[in-house]
Amino acid sequence: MKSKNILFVLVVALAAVLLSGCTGQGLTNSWPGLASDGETVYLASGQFLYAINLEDGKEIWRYPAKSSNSLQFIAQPVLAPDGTIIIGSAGSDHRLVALDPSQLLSSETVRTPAEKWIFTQARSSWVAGALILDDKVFAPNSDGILYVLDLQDGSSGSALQRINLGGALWAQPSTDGNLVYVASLDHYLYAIDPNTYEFAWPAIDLGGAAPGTPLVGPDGNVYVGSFDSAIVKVDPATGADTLLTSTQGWVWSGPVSDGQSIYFGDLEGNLFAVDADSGNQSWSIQPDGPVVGSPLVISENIVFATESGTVYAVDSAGAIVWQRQVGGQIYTSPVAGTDKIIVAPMQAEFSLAVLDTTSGNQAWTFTPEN
Amino acid sequence: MWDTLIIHPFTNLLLWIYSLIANVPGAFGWAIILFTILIRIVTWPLNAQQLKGAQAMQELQKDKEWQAIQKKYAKDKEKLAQEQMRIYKERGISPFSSCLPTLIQFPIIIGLYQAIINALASAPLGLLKLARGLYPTLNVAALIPLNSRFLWMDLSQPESIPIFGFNLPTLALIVAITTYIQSKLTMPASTNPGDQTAAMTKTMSIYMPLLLGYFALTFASGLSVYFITSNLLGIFQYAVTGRANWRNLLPGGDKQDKQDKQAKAKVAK
Repeated sequence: MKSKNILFVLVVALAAVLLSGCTGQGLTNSWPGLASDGETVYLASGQFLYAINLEDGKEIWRYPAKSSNSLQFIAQPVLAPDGTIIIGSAGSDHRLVALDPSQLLSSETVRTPAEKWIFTQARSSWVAGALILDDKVFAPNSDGILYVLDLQDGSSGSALQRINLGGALWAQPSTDGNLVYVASLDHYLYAIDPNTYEFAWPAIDLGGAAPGTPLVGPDGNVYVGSFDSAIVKVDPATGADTLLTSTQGWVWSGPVSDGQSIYFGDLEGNLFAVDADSGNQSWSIQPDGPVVGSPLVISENIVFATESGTVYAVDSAGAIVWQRQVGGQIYTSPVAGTDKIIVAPMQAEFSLAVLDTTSGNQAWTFTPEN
Repeated sequence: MWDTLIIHPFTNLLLWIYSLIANVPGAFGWAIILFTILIRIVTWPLNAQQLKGAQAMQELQKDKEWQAIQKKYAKDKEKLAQEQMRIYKERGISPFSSCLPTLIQFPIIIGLYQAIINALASAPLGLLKLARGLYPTLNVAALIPLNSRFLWMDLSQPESIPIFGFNLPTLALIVAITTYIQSKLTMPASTNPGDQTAAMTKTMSIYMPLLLGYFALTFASGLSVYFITSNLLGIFQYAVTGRANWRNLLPGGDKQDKQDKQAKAKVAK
C-alpha cells in the first residue's frame, strides 16, 4: 500500500505542476516594453528595467538592483524631458516609479538609478506607459483609473486626480496638447481636458476593446483601432466619429502616420496603408504572421515586426525593401534609435536586437546577465 | 496539440455559453457552472462505469475463490498476479475502469483552468492567446473583456473573505468539504482487512480534499466554482443511482456499517 500512496502523491504533485506550470501565469504574461532616446535603449522585461548603450549593447544600469518576485515590468518606459524615467510594474507590487538615471547607485555587480518617487495606490497592473504633458503624468492602470500625478512628486497620496474610466487601460494615452485621448478595453475612447479633468465629449463606442494608443494624425483628427476590426476617425473638436476602414482581424496597437497615410497591422497578419482623408486603402501586405505592435516610420520606410519573429521594412508603395528573421515572437512595437531599429523579441535567444535602418543587418543583440 | 484538443474547445465552449447569458449578472460564473454540468453529463457514463467497476472489485474481495487464491499464493506474488488477471478476464472486470474517470478529471481540470485564465485574459499575452484560439463562428469581439465578477468573487483571482483581519479562504474550505463528502459517500464498507480497493479509496478520501482544497486556495476562484459544482453533481449522481453511503458521513459510520455487514453475514451462515 505504501508504494500506492507514494504513486498517488506523485500523480497529485504532477497535476499541481501541470496546473500551475502550463498556465502561463508565471513571470511572463506579456511582451517587453521598449523605448529609446537615441543614445540609450530602455527595455522593460521580466523583473527588471534595463538601460543599454545603443552603441555597443552594454548594460548601463538596471532597476531594481536585485530581482523581486513581486515586480514585473512590461509597460513601455516613458522618458520625461528632464531625464526622469517612469515605469510601472505589472507584478503583485503595483508600483509606478520615477527613476533618476543621473544618480546611479552602485553595488558590487550592478548600477541602479535612484528612485525619485514611487506611487503605490493603483489597484492593478501597469500594462501601458504613461503620458507626460507639461508637468503632469497621465498614468493608465488596469484598474480602470487614469491617475494624474505631479511629474516632480508623484509619490503616494499626492495624486492630482483619479479619473475612473471603467475598463482596464492597456493603451498609452496620447495628446494633441489640448486634450488627452485614452482608449480602453471597455470599448470606449475618452477625451479628457488635462486642466479641468472633465470629458471633452461623450465617450465614443468603438465596438470592441481598444488596447492601442490613439493616433493624433497630421490633420488633427484622432485615429484609433479596436477588436471590432476597424479604425475609427474622430474629430477632436466635436467628438464626431466615422468609420475610416475595416480590417480582416483585430487591431491591437495604435496606427502611425507619415503625414499622408496611416499605417497599422492586424492579428490576421496584414499591414495596411490607408489614406487618412478618404479612408481608401492604398495597399496592404500579409507577410508571415500577426502584426501586434505598431509600425515605425523611419527613413521613408515603414518598419514592422510579425509574430513569426521577422522584421520588415516596406516603402511607401508597400514594396518590401528588406526583411530580417530575428527569431522568437515579436509583439513589441519596434523603436528608432538614430540610424538603428530596435526590436524586443520574446522567447528568442536574446532579449533585444538592433538592426541597421537601411539594410536590416543585425548590429548587436542583448541578453541580460544574471 | 494540447491547445487544439483541449484548451481551444474548452475556451470556445465557455465563451459560447457566456455569450448566451452575457447580460445576466455574474455571467462568467454561471457559464462555468453550466460548463461543469455539461462536462458531467458527457462524463456521466464514465462515472457510472467507475461506480460499477468499484462495486465489481468490491464484490471480488468477498469472493471465496479469490480469497482462497490469495491464501494459496500469498508468498508467490507472480502467480497471484497471474491468477488475478485470469479472474478479471473470466468475470469481465477491468481493473482500470474504476480509476479511469478520476484520471480523466485531471486534463479536464487543467484544461478548464487554462480556459478560464485565457477567457478572462487579465494580461496581454493571455488576451492574444485567446484571440488566436477563437473559432470563426464565435464572434466575441463585442464580449471582450469578460466580466470576471461573480457574487463576491473575482473569478480570475484566488478567493478569500476578510474576517477580523484574517483572510478566510471560504471557497477552498467548501471545495475540501464537498470533496470529502463525495469521497465518503462512495466509500464502500469492507469486511476484508486485505481489501486493497477499500484501502485505496480511504487514502483517496483523505488526499483528494486536501489536494483540491490546495488548488482552490492557490489558483483562480473560477476553478473552485468548477470543483464545487462538480462535487455537488457527483453527490447528486451517487444519490439518484442509490449508491450513496450516507452512514459514512456520521462519526464512526463506516465502522458501524462494517459491523452491520458482519452481523448479517453471521446470520446468513
